[in-house]
Formats: sequence, C-alpha cells, structure tokens
Amino acid sequence: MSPPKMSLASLPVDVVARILKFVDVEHFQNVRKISRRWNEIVLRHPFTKPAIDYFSFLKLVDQWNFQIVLEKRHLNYFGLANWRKERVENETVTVRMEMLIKTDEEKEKLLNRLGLLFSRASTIAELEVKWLYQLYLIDSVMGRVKIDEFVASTHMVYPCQNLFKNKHDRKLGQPGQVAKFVKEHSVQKFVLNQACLSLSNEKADLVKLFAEVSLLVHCIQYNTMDKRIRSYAMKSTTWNEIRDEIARENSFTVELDMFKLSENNPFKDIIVRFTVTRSF
Amino acid sequence: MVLITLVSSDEQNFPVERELLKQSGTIETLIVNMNLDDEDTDAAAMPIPLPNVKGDVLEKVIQWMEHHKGDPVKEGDNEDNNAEIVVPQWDDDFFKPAMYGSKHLELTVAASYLDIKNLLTLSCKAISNTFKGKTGPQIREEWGVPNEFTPEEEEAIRKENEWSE
Repeated sequence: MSPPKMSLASLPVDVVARILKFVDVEHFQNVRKISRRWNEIVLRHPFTKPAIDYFSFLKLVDQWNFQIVLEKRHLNYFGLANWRKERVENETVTVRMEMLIKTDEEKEKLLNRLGLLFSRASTIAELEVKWLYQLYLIDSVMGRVKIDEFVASTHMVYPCQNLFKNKHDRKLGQPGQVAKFVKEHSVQKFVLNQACLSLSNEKADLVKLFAEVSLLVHCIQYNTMDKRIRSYAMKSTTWNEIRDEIARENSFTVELDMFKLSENNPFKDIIVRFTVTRSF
Repeated sequence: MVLITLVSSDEQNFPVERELLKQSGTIETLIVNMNLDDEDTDAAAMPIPLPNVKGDVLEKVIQWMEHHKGDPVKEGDNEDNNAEIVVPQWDDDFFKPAMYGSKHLELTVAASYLDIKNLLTLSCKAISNTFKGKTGPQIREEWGVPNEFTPEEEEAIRKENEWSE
C-alpha cells in the first residue's frame, strides 16, 4: 500500500511555521481554518501575533486616556481603526482615544476590549503608565504580554496607600508588586520617574525597590528632581551617599548622573539619575 | 568536475556536480562527515542515501539547484524580511505546475529536510501567496483539504476575530 499523499494539513510543524511567517496577521483567521493542526500552530507561535510599539495610559478623574503606536496595517487587527489618528509616519500610526467611564458596566466593557487587545499582541515595545498607581486599573487584563520597556511616573517610590479606593486595589502600592509585574511581563528595562524623592522618608524604599527589580531586568533607571536650595557640591555628596548605599545593599554598580536644568540657576532643580545595567 | 551520487528513498541514483550541493546544508554536512572532499576518497564510489526524499522530488530539487547554481547561500538562521520577498518569475513558473498538489508540498518538505534555505523560503512564500484574499473554506477547497471543523468550531474562530469597536 502506498503512503498517503502529503497534504497541507499534514505538513511538518516547522514548515507550517515557516509558511506562516509570510502570512499577514489579518489573514490568520483564514489559515486557522485549514485544519485543527494549523489552528493549533497559529495559536501557539508567538510570531503570529504582531507587536505594539508604544502603549500609554493615563486616567484623569473619569476619563481614561490611551495612546498607541503600531504598524498601520495592524489597525483593524487590534480593533483600533476608529480611534483618532494623531500621526502617520511611513508604516507607523499613532492613535489616541479618550473614554468617559462612569459606570462599572462601562469599565467592564472597556477592560474586556483591552484584554482582547493585549491578548492579540506578542510584545509591547514600550508601556508607559503616566502614574504608577494606575497600573492596577489595567494590569489584570494584560495577560502575559511581553513588555520590553516599562516607564512609569510616581509621587512616591511606593505609591501612597490612600490613593487606592479599596483594599484589593492597594496591592500595587505595596513593595514587591512592581517586581511581580516586571517578572510576569519579562520587562527588559524599567524606568521610574519620581517628581521629587523625600530623602528623609523614602531613601530606604528606594534601596528596596532597586533590590526587588534590578535582578529581574537588564536595566533599571530611576529619575528624580532635587529642588533643595543647597550647593551643587552638597547635593552631589548626598546623592553619592545614596548611590553607595544602593550599591552596597545589592552588590552591583550603580551609575549616578546629575544634570543641571539650567546653567543660570545652578543650585536648584538638579535631575538625578541612577542606572543599573546588568548583562545576563 | 567532481560528481557525487545521491540516492533517493526509492533507490534512484542521481549523479550531481559537487558544486551544486553546497546549497544544501544537510548534504554538505554529510559530505564533510564522509570525507568525500578528500583527494584520496573515491566520491563516486560512496553514494549519499537520502531516505526521506523520493526520486521524482529529488529530481525537481536538483533541477532547482542547477538553475540557482552560483546564487549566494544563506548562512545560519537569519530571518528574511518577509514583506520584501518576491518569488522570481522563473521560480514561480517552476512551482506553478505542481502548486495545490502534494508534489509542491513534498518539494517544500524536501527543501526543509535538505536545508536548502533559498528553496524553502521561495517555496513557502509561493504557498502563502495562494492564501491571499481567500477564506478558510476556499483555501481548503483549492488545496483539497477535508474540513475537520464542526460548524460550531468555525463559528468560534470567526467570533474570536470579530471584536472591533
């Protein structure tokens, strides 16, 4: 008896995967219907999902604001065709949406949509959460989407517990939660911008944050502003001491950079940056 | 001119110019392992068995390699910029008679087994081109694939993809 003829449905997995690399994501739903095998391979392979270049989120009272940068050809795939196109550059488009969310029903509907959007992406090259404490609003629907760079701003190293409405939501303000998020999404680089570090209250928290996160990422960068009316030399001494403390507690080298905002006013408004870059 | 004999799964012999075989990573490895490049080795007396490739498919592979003799051979697993790959006219004409049939698929699988990167890339691209603008059932019909899905499963796939706005 001669062996059965080869068919599209019986191709080896590596050949199917190779063919899929030439198929536009918009057509995946069609090739999924070739056979159960093709359906499984499409769902299993991460390359069958496109990346989002940039995703930012900011909630202002009841208004949820999103800005997304992605390849133009993926607008329909992500269900963003009706979002406002802010900028179109070559193959890339920036879309924006502001949504008024006043009821739990509206919130649930939006989160469902966001969940689908994240589930359709392989990677987010840069996720920017304008306020770190608002991450808790969307992290439950982010699944395991990979995030290359995570950028967040915060008032405090660990956001004030009072910012959260209920006990459940307070989890993100606690130590360890940022590290958990970073680990779950395989974040490569974490950038935290803090308007102003309270040196007396938060120095220990900063050391703790570096300890939690620096082992999980390739690079952690922390930026803050020093507005104290002191000489540059005195500021420099203080920040070098903190740098040494972070380094000592965590056994790695911490780079310290200090930038003057203006040469005309050299004693105020110093931007301080700590960076740890690790090679794995 | 050094000739090396390839033996297909149905035991057909194909004497092939040594130079052509540099396009196949698998055969190149076998040549090295069998010391067929050594001056002292009688390459003609040591045929290379290819138990996974039938004679008619191997004949097509050799025909393709002859046309592409001298083309640069891709190294490693560098990914192509898939969007920019165009199947040249000669290759399109070469693939066309067997397209939608098992012969083209066997050629593609042989290219994968023999590690002929350029042939595999162009062959896969040609297959993907046949999917353009077609629904799942249309692709199945053209390629003669029986429907394995229940109407409910097909509906579930459709719904998963219809979620905009």
